[in-house]
Amino acid sequence: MSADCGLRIADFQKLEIRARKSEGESPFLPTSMDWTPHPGNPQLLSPIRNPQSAIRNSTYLGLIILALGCSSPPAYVEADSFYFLNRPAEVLARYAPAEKDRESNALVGIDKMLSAAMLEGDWKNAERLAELASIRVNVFLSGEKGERDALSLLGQEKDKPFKGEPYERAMADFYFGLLRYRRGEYEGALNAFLSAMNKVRGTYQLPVEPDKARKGAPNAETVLFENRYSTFAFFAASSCQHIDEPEEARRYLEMAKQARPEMAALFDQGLDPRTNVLAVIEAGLAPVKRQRGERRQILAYSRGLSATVESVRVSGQPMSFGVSEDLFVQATTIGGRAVDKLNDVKASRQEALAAAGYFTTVAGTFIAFAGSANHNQNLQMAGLAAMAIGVGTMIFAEAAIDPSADIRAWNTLPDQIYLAFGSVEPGTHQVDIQAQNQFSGDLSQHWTDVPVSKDTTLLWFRLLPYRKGGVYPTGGAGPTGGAPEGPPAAEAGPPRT
Amino acid sequence: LARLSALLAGRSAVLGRSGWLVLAALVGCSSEQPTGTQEVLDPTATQKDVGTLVDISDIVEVSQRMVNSLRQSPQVASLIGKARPVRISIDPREVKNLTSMTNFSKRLFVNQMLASLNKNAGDDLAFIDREAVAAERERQLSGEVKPAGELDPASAGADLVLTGRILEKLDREPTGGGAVKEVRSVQFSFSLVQVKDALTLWSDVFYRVKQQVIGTVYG
Repeated sequence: MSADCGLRIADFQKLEIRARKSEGESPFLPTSMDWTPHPGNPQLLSPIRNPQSAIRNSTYLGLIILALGCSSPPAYVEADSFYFLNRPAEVLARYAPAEKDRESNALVGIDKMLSAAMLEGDWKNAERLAELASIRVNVFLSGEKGERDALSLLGQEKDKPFKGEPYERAMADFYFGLLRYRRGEYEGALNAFLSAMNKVRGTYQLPVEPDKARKGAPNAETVLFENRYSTFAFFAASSCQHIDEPEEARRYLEMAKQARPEMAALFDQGLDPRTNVLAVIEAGLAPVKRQRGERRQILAYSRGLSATVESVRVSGQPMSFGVSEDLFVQATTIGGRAVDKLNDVKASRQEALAAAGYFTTVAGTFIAFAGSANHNQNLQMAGLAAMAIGVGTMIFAEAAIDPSADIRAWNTLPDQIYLAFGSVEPGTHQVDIQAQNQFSGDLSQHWTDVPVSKDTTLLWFRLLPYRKGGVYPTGGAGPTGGAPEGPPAAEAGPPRT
Repeated sequence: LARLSALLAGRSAVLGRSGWLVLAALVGCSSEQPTGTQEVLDPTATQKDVGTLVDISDIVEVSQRMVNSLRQSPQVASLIGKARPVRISIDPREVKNLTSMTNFSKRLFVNQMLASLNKNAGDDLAFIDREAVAAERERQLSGEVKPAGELDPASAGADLVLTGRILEKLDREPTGGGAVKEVRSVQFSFSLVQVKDALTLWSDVFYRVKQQVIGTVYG
């Protein structure tokens, strides 16, 4: 601790900057008028000896320190609405601190920034963010502080560093793959698509077979679950085709067809060398996480708003399309989570503790009454003490133990993913998507200056009510303009890695 | 914050009750802040924070083991005995990463391998990197720039081509309490194939196996 009684100028500036960031242009900030250079050391500042200003300063300073010192980690939810209003720049600006955030919610912010960067058409930034997200969803540092907290009785599931549920983790890698695929880095894209496919494998609690059920036992067993996303498998197949791995391409294509037999013909068309336009159309809103159970300890889902694509045309020419993924289905077909069991244990301990507190209170009340009736002051005091302990225990059980399921979510994900394929002359085209939401609201989009090369061109569209189209983004600025990023995928040369 | 505490302590006369309350709150809520001190790390040291992904130490080790194996190959030695230097084409496109590791940089791996080979090869081996000179050759051949010397329109052919595949096997098994152990076995396989007859002169396989536990809270 410094022996100086002054505050260094640099410290003051840091404090002021930090406070202004937290509070905006807050009236609670001390102004430079209240400080003067230290008489003995010009590098130090001393407060002006004005009693009123001193009291005000101490109060303001206290409030700032209190706000800074005790603030909870940012949740990255306050700017979500900007995404749905098709204003991605605001999302990117508001959630920017997530990149350097070391707290448990950082990935919530990074994931949403990734969505926003894609919406903005800033593919380079999106890929950078996807890489950040991918590392975080792939690396598990067992026993991290937040994870330990989440496991403890007094901890909450939301204390754990957010990685998302398996479908959210898979989407981080899927976007990473898509962004690499877009610029012709097919091998890197393949790595990411395969990584996305791995995410759906996990452990889940499923009911045991009837003959194995025992009375009073949980009758659930932990099983390894493996699912297949047809979209990821299709893109893995397409990537393999581009890097001259036909055998692997066939294998992944087969996986895609098995996951969605109704799309088999469309997937074949997607891998046809004549197909040079692949469009990914994201429709609807992400599955909504809910807390179920008496103590909100079980994670459940409800479907977000959905949307339907009616037609996709490139310069008037219809493209074949179909639903290749349903994230609500992916989120809900996995059964219960292992962590729900953990939350269940917490909930039962919370109930036991609350019950113990209740009985202690009741017993204390009787003892206190008995003491009062018998004019026994000691007995009365003992009863009152027991009541206090009981009430305290009940309050503790309710306030300190939180078994609720973690519902932090990457809510800018879509409900469904459509794939559309077409074959058009290389050049600049228009793309028209006819779509509507579940309430028949129009979600159609009209895009101009869409570059299509003779080889594969990947286009990405997001259906949102306030997103009507414009000039298709090809670089680092928004959908209505900006410098082109570089050559299209076909001219971008060999894979980078 | 320590300085602020000192300030608050030193100015007790003007602080009043609110200041002391704040100080108490500060003591209760303070946490360790990163200092921003620079720390130089050993790039060849194994990173513990990449889970089952391959890190730089894996790349350094595998490439070194590969070079050692190649140098000990009697077939390669025999070829060197006939004509020195033996010309090897190393093209990153001939090394394919078919794993699900999103952080793996194949270019980094090939560079490391090339550096190790160069260090050990002496005059025995020469490496051909056509990609590096393609643009300049094009400019010189088209007359856009003056050739530095005699320029052969056909660049030198290789005696051998290095090919490789990086594959993986990912296993997950439940451990106690809903946690999952993930084991990633990565196989690096490389071959030197003779151009004139497609005979494989040398091949070897190296493994890196890593594991991580996906905790119960993520299950």
